[in-house]
Amino acid sequence: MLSRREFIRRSILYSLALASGNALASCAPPAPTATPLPPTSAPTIAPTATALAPTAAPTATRVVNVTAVPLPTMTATPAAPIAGEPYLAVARGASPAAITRAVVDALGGIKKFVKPGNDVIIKPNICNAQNTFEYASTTNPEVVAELVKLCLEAGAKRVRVMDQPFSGTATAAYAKSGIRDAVEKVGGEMEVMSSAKYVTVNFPATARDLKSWKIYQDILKADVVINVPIAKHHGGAKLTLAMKGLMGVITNPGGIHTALDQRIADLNTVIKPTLNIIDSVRALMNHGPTGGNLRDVKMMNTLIASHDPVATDAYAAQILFDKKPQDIAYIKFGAEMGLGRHDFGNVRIKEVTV
Amino acid sequence: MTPSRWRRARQIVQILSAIFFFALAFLTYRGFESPIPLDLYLRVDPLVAFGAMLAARAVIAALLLALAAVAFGFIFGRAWCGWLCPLGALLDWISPRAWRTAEAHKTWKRVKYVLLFVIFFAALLGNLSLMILDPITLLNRTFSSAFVPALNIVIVSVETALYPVAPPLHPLFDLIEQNWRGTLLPAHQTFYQLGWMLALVFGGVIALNWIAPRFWCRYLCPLGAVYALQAKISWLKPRAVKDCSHCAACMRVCPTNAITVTQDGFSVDPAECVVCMDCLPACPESVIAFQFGGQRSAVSGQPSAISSQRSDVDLTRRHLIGSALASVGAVALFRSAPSAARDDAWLVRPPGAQDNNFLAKCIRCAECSKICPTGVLQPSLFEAGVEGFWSPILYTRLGYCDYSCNACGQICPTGAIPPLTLEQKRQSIIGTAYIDENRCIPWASYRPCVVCEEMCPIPDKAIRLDAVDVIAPDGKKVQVQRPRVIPDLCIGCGICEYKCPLTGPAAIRVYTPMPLPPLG
Repeated sequence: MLSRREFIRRSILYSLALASGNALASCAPPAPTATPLPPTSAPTIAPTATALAPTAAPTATRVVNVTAVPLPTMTATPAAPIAGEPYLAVARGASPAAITRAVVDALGGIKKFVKPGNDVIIKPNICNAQNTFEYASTTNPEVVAELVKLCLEAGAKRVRVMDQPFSGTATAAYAKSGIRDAVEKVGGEMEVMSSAKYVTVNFPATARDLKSWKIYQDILKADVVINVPIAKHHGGAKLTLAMKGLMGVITNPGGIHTALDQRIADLNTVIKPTLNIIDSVRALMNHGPTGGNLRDVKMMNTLIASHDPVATDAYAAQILFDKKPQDIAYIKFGAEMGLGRHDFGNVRIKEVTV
Repeated sequence: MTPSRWRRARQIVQILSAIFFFALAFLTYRGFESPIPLDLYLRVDPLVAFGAMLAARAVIAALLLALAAVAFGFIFGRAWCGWLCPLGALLDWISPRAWRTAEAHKTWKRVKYVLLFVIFFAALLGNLSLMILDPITLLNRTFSSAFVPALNIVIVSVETALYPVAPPLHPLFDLIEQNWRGTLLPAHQTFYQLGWMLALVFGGVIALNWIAPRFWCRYLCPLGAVYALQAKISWLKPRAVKDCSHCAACMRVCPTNAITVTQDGFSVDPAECVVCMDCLPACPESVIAFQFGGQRSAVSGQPSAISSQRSDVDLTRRHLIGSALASVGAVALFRSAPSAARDDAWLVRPPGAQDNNFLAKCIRCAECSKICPTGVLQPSLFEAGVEGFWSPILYTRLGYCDYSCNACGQICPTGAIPPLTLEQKRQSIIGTAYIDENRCIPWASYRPCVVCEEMCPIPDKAIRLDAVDVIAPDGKKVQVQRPRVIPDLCIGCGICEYKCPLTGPAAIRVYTPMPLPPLG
């Protein structure tokens, strides 16, 4: 028989040994920290397609078919749209919940994306804990809550909402953004992203710079991921939209900034949300991504949705910020790498106003 | 109650008190709003209360609860040490298997009084450096800067290792990460500069138990000395209620060696007795009892040697004068140190603390560092001079002052960090960031990086980007966005320094603030 004291002593010793083993194991050199700085001269590809879908004043439901020369730089087929449905949808209107439903319906309805029993993750932009949603630094809570409702209506087994804020705690940021209350009211769960759940992922050859990085495993495993960024100004990338929003599901997002635009595009080779919806009910036109001034906020009452994050971003850059998509480097890189399209030749765009 | 029941009652209260202390400590990670003051143990600490009030020359309302502790001391003597003190409990539990009741050295008992007197005289001079020796601040610091960060490493390492291989454990991990993180555990892993040192000091305090049981309490603890002085005249005292056979069983079990049994009789030193009541069940003849008031044993006609007073530790005028001189000397030395002439470049204090007579109010309790969600607030080394050792500063490479948080000022028990509203805190200048253009990536390496500007939480951005065409070393013209600080807008929160992707020191660093008058 062991004495009690001896038992405690041994268990403490063994667990310490175990713990230190694990701690040592997790201290193994993280994969890509020593990535050399990329060459200063980024590969130059002449922007060709400048003819973009003209945006008409909001009208009732209409379908726009624009013919333009596709970019020769596109090396792979963009992810296919839902057969028979528009490639991209835009909804405008005063009610965030109503336009959320409308924009999803315009793409064929939530049932095209969410099947009964699916495990769904909705990834809004909840970047910090300092502003309420009126400051347009975080996604509109009504939009997120309506998406949760839609997914549950479609029979989703579980709908989780998560993002990793870059400042403040997730708990505080979830509360301050108003998203926690809105989501929990309609039956969704807020998940605080756990540092134990990031796994090292090797990037495919299409990624030009990132070789591997740690990504939240649930995002990779979930049946459906809906990416709901808010449209914002950004000092480095110029704009933060759907493609850049995925920086919220990786470790050490600060570490990719030395080649930010290329690495944003690279992230999109691995993380492929089922649906991307850009929230521009309010858009942050300056001093992003943190915000804090109401005078930098512009009411747009618009949502832009597509399975293709390059397309949502290209469209948003043009209609919300009056910028050419190919001037936003990560959009251009994304199109070059075949991750989606930033021109709208031969694509159906459905615009609805509710 | 029977003697052994009294002892059992003491053990239960001691366990509950320690659990309560650590429960409050863990609950601090929820935030400062709490029905029970999270700093309760500091509020009932008379050493903290009177030290801080003397040094700050102010009545600190939150600490007036210590008056109850004073009343407690006059009634129950050192019962705090035996029944309630969480450090005392740990010292009782983490101890050699067979306690030696030996005395380390008789005269060492005086050390705690000398320390107390030095603290008292230094507080009169506005100095609180030795408050680091208060047992509650000592536990608090070790807890927040050493124990919890290490505990979190263990938890996350185990989770990371088992997550892929043990799906049945996922509900447990979800419980920890979803329900405990940010409520009982820090929101993020934190990294403390002096964690090792605090752990060593705490380990040392525990290790002294192997020289003599409760070595810390008997010889060193200045809070114990406060209660010991009160115990000399306290109402409750251990007494011999009848004549005894001098078997010395009580003397052998007494953890603080407060009992002396000689052939002539039996005596207890109330200043050393922590009212643990271990002697009650040990006595085969039930001679000892704790009684209120009275002068002498209830049994008449007993030998006069039965007494509850013993005076082998006499504090002389010499000790008092010596302590006073030592305090004056040390404080004078501190004030003639470079740190007194000019602030250290990295002396970045918590919001509102810089011009708040900080060192005369800060008791080094580390409540602020415990509640700080980013772990930027840490016990300092010598940034504030030896005088400010272990007072909190911001290590802005290890964390940042979150623009949405004002918790440190709300929890500070002495008001050393003023309780600023969030709006006031956002205006409070704690430092100023400067860019090292020799290392900053766009400046020195001609490559893009905007992290500091991106992170800057000031609504109008205190860091701006200048697009500049430059000739890179390969002769090509490239455009870079060079960050530039607008010092008039910078509040020194340090998120730029924390997030700077460079290895080692950041290329943008927060310095001690240097507010300038308005331009023009």
